[in-house]
This record gives sequence, C-alpha cells and structure tokens, in this order.
Amino acid sequence: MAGLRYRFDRPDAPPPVVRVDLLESLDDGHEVAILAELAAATQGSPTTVVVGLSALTRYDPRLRPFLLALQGQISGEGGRAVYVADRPRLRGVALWVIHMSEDSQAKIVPNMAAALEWLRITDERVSSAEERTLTRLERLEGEQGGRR
Amino acid sequence: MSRSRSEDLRFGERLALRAIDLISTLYLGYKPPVNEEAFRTLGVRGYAKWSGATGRAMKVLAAGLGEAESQFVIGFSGLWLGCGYCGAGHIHAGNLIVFRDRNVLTALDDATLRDLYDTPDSEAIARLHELLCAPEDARLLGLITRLYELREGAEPGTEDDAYLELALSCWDWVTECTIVIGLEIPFESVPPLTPLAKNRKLLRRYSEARARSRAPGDDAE
Repeated sequence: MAGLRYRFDRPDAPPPVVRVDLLESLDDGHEVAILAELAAATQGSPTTVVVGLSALTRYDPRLRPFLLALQGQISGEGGRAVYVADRPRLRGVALWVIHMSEDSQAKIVPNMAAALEWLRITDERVSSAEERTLTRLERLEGEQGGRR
Repeated sequence: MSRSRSEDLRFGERLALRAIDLISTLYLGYKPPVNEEAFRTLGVRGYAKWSGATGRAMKVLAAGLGEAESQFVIGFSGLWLGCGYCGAGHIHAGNLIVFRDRNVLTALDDATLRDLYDTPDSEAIARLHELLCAPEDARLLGLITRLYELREGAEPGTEDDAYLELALSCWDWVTECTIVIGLEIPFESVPPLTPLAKNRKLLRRYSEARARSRAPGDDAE
C-alpha cells in the first residue's frame, strides 16, 4: 500500500457518523483496511457512513465489488450510507451498489452539502421518488386538462 | 421496494413478464432489457404503477416542454443519475425528433454523451454551453442548465420548473431498476426509448447522416 488512497474520519457532529473518502483506486490491502477500520469505528452499532467518491477521477471496475462489500457491512450493522459523487458514472456505480444491496435507506448525492442535509432526515429512497412523482404528475395533468 | 430482487420470479410473474415483453415489442419495436429487473424489484403491481406513471410523465412532459425537449430533459435526468441506458436512449430519441423535424444533427452524439458521463458537475454546464451554442439551441440549453441547477438544490421558480422536477423525480424512480444495465451498456447500442424505434427508415437516414458528419478518423458513434 503506497501513498494516501483513502481518508477515514469520524467528525464530532452529528454523531454517529463516519466519513470515508476514496482518493484514488484501491488495492486489496486498502480495501481490507477500510472494512477493518470501519468495523473498529462502529463497534457493531448502527452508524451513518458518508462515502466520498468525488476525488476519484476515473471509474475503476474494482470499485463496484468493493463498494458492495462496504455497503453490506454498513447495512448489516443496521447503519445507513450516503454516497457523495460529482460525476454521473460514479453516481451510477453507487446506485448500482445500493440497488443490488436492496437498501432502501441508502442515498446518493452530488455534493457534501446535500449529504449533510440528508443526515438530518429519514428518507426511504424509492417510495419517496414514487410519491414525489405521482404528486407532481397529478398536479400537472390537472393543469394541462384544465387548459384544454 | 416491494419485493426481494434476489428471489426468483414466480410462475404468474413470469407469465406477466412475457405478456409485457410482447406488448413492449409491439409498441416500441424492441423488448426493453429492464422489464425483468423491474418485475423482480417492484413485483407485478409495482411494475404496473411504475411503467404507467412513466408513460404518463412522458406525455405530460412532451405536452409541457415539447416533444424533442422532453426527451432531452428525460435523457439528461437519467444521465445525471448515472444511468447510461436512460441517458443515451432518451437523448437518442430527442436527436431523432430534431433530425426528423429540422433535418439537423445536434452536438449530442454518443461520443459526447460518453464524455459527459465522466465529466464532473462543476464542468458539465460549461461543456454544454460549448456544445449547444447555436441560437436554435438556446431553449434546450436553458432547460438542461436549469435541470442541473434544480438537481444541485436550487429553489424551483420558473415556469418550466414543475416539468423539470417531474422528470427528475420520475427518473429517480425509473433508474432504480434501469441501473442494472445502465452502467456498462455501450451508448451506441441503446435504441431510442420511444416508439420512434420502429421507424427504420428514419433510423437509417439518421445513422447515415451521423456517419457523414464524422470527420475521418473519429470514433464511430
């Protein structure tokens, strides 16, 4: 393991939150180290984990299986994850991971401000999207119908 | 999510999936590769609600924003969320409508979309301004720019915002299932995700025009 490839942080507020920022492509050793460091930080208790992907400049196919393992560890302990990614493809990777993990609590956001906002609420991703869609759809259909 | 996606489809679900695949093929001209995943994730009733709402949203967006504009807005919603399938397929549909109606090619070819897929949000809008700089692109550029602003958390306020917000929430819902193929699929293999896919003559003319527009040595779209 050469150089800094990830950063692990446990901010003071709002607890219990752990932040893991991936800085460049990881090798097996880094992946094992992150999972171990996370286990030590959470001590098996439900914890919110902010996973930062915005420092990654390209998509490495190794990222998917690693994030799947990370997501499994977070949700296995009853925690929830929020993925921060400022590139569409990396948001797609995160979406693939949380979809395959069947974790309806996990979330993907484009920046840290949105992640901090999300930490304050409880949100069920798919049903929230469905509810917002149906509400907006009914309103717009009503408006368009009224104009005819 | 109303069903565990890792469970096998039950007999009745498999029958319903066959029927939906057949109807989709007749209506769209191709079998959407995401129907099975949607069944696995949402169940039959959930699928009916999901696909019904999506169809209604496409109609409402076309009526509110325009046929081509709505497809571009949907495509960029899907692309922003990380789904290459939705991005390429709906932007392809928008490109076809522009080509059919105005006989012009937009700058949004597959190679450009692949580039945008990897572009950080902070650079994407500047890149779109470079790509959509013709006066006739102003409306489309305005819509996509606003879409990105809303996605980043801007407060809605303009006349178009209600439509853009519908596209964003609906494709939040849609990409939950389409992402299973949306990450790896080659953009050039995605059909236009509307019944335009049945118009072989238009598809051929468009494809030939794209080929002619590429400078020798460029990557094939």
